[in-house]
Amino acid sequence: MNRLKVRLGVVFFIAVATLAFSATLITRSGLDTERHTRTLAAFDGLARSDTDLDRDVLEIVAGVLPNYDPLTQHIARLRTLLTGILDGAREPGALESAALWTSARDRLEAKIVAIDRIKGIAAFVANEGNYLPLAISEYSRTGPAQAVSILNQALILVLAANVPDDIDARLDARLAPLTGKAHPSGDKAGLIITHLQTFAEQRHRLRNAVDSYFSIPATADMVAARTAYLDAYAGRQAVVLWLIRGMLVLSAGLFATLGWLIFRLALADSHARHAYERMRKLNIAVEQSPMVILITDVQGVIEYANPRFTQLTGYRQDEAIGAKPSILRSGLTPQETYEELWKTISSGSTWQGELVNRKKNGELFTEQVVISPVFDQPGDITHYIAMKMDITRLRQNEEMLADASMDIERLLFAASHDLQEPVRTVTVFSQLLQRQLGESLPQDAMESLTTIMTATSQMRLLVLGLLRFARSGHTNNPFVPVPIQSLVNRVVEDLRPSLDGSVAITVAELPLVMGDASLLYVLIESLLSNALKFRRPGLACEIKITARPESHAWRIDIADNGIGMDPGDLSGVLRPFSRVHSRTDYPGAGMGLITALRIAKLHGGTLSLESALGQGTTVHLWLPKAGGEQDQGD
Amino acid sequence: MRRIAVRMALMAGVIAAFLPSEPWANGAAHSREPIAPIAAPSGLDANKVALGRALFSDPILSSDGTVSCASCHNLAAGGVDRRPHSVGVGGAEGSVNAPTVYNSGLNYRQFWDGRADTLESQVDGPITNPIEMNGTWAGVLARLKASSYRPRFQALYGGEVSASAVRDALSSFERSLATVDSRFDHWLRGDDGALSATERRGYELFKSYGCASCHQGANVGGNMFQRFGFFGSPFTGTQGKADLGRFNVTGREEDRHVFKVPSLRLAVLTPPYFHDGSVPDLPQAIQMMGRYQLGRDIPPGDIDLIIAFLETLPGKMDTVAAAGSGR
Repeated sequence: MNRLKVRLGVVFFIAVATLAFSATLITRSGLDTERHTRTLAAFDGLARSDTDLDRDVLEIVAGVLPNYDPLTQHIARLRTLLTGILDGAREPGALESAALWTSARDRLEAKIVAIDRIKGIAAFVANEGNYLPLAISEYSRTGPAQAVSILNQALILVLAANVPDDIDARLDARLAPLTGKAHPSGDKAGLIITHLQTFAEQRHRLRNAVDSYFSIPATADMVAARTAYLDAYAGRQAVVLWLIRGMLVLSAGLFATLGWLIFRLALADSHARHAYERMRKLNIAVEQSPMVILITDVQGVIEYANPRFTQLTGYRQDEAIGAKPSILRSGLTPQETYEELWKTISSGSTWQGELVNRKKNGELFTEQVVISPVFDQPGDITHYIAMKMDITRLRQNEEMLADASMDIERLLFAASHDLQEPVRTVTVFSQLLQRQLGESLPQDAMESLTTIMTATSQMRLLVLGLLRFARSGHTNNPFVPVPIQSLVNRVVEDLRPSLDGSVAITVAELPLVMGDASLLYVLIESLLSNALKFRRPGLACEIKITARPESHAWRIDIADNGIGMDPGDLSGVLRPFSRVHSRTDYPGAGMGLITALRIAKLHGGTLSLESALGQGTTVHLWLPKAGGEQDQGD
Repeated sequence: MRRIAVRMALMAGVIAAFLPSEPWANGAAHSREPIAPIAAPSGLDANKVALGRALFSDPILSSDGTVSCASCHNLAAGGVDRRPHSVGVGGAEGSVNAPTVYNSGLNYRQFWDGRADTLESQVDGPITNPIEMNGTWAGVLARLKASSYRPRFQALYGGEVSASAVRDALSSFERSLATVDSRFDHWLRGDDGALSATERRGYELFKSYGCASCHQGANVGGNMFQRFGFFGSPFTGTQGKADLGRFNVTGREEDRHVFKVPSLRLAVLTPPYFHDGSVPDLPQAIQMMGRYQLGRDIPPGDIDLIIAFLETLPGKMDTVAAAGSGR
């Protein structure tokens, strides 16, 4: 998360820097464009001024310019523009055309110099052009016709539009007839000749000056400089444009990355919030837990103790944290327990057991403890978590319950045992009375006696059943391997006197189980007695005893073909003193099945009934296999 | 192509020579005349003009505090000293005649040989010339910084007194010295009654003799160079360096004896004449011009008429300076 933030910051910074750089570039390019516009305007102004100069020169030569003031202004403007452009050309990035511009300036200056010459000569030529025709015309009034004719021809020669290079020679040739004579001072013809000669000479000079003016390639220089400037500018703009584009693409990419990082950060944040939420719930669970929860480091120093710890032991959290759980030690837990505890947990396993500890106020308490190690990623133990439950009260209750149960069983046993004697006495003396009085007894007295004897017999059965039930609750004998087969055979032998010929008992091969032989005898006897007792009248009684192994236990089935029971009554028959059939029809204490169940349970087994009315009953008896004797250690 | 254009222009020039000289002069204003009216100077900072005016008359600019610009360019006397050659510090005498400072802003170059392109660069000349103010810029600036001018410079130009500020102030003032509203300008602008018939006749002669070929424009000269002496040489006797004219600037043979055509606006007020002040009066100057420049002898009657025309050229003088120049 922090790394993400750092990355976010870096990307943000770069993105902003890129954007700022692009903005600078754009601004600079804008300035460049502004300067470019100015420079172009100067170019145009310069070109216009140059054209103006050319036109001015043509106008001077044509004699249509009234005065030179416009020319002077054009030259002044050209100088200003030139200075401005040359200053601009000195700026960085415009150097490429500076040399060209210097050359252009030199040529423009040369043009100005040429114009200065042209102005002077043109002024003179204009004057002569005005004066000579007038002078010759005046001379024609007094001078000889031949001379006038020669002068006129000479004037035409000099005025010819095309000024030949040898005009002086031609003029001299034309004037030769006149120049041969001596001319007195003030002679008109001589003066005109001088004017003609000067005029020719200056016209020639003017032609040369104008030719040289127009041969100055200032315009070409300016065009070249302009082209060079435009090329350089276009190149610079292209570079800047690509740079700006690149920068914008880059900053777009960076901002996209930024967005992605922000999204990731938000996601991480929500993950963190969820994790925190879960942690908070766990924390509440731990804080509110009815169990004592301690977290210690590997040395056993307490780093965390929940409020339940304080409630139970009286030690405050600040007292507990930093201390070791040994502050609770009472000395009543054997030292071996602690050794085993540490051996177990330091090896990475979970230890559970009971400790007798002492509260801050000195009170003792027993706690059920589970201690688990906490591992870090490489698998090293970093902490231990102890979860402890105060079981002091539970232990006391258990003991009280066991005591109470024992008392009842003793009472039951004592009562049923002691009742046997008076029952037997009543039975014996009732029989004695019947024999002594015999037939002498009136019929109704005899019936009463019979009733007493029946009741007594029933009572004997009840007492016997109770006695057996009381005995079935526990055993004092250690479990030994008991062969069920021989046990069943013995029960059948013992019951044989009461059997008649219509009873067929088939016994399959039966297993060996661990148990109390006398109790198991009672168990088998009870079940067989029931099977014999509830046989169907007029039907030969068939009892089948089979056994089959199941996962941890043997299932022994005792199936009869007796009267059976409604399946709805099945749940009731396993309660004490319950009966489905009337006592008169089927005498008995009603304790047989419950006693059998108790014995089965005492052996770690159970039993269930399967029956249908008029179909017979099958009792399923499960007894643990001989190999599972460890489980019987309770 | 261009050559053909040049030929055609030359031909047109020849034709133009035979055309009536004033084919367009029918309108109220005479806009196609070789001479143009002087426009009132514009775009000048009044404070800078005032500062320039003060400096112009203040000898603080000269090395010994004896000579001011106004010493040689007396504003009350046509902007000149009326000496053949001006006198500088310590009585040193120069080699040329001081031209008028009036309308100097209309000249396209300064000095007789045109060695200064602008009024600003002209300032350096008199200040450093040993026979004029005989100073240095360092000295001038030091004196100005110690004077009461300093705050005025600082207020107008920002920062310390500088040579460029002094140049600008003086030039601003000089540009303000335009002699507007002359009678001739009134006539040019359409006031036909501004000139008498004599004066108009003088102007016609001025044009037909060819004077107006060079003495043209608003300043009646001052916007071109011309060779002195097409017909014979006016230079007699020993020639000084100053007689070489523009040759001293360019070194070109064809510029020998070439001078800036002087303005004739105040010609009637500013004797003596020519670059060396060798001609004391106007008739003689016109007569010499006719002979050497035009190759003609101008009759005295025509010269008088031309002078009558020249009398109509001066306009308003600088009244403030003129009034205060007596001290």
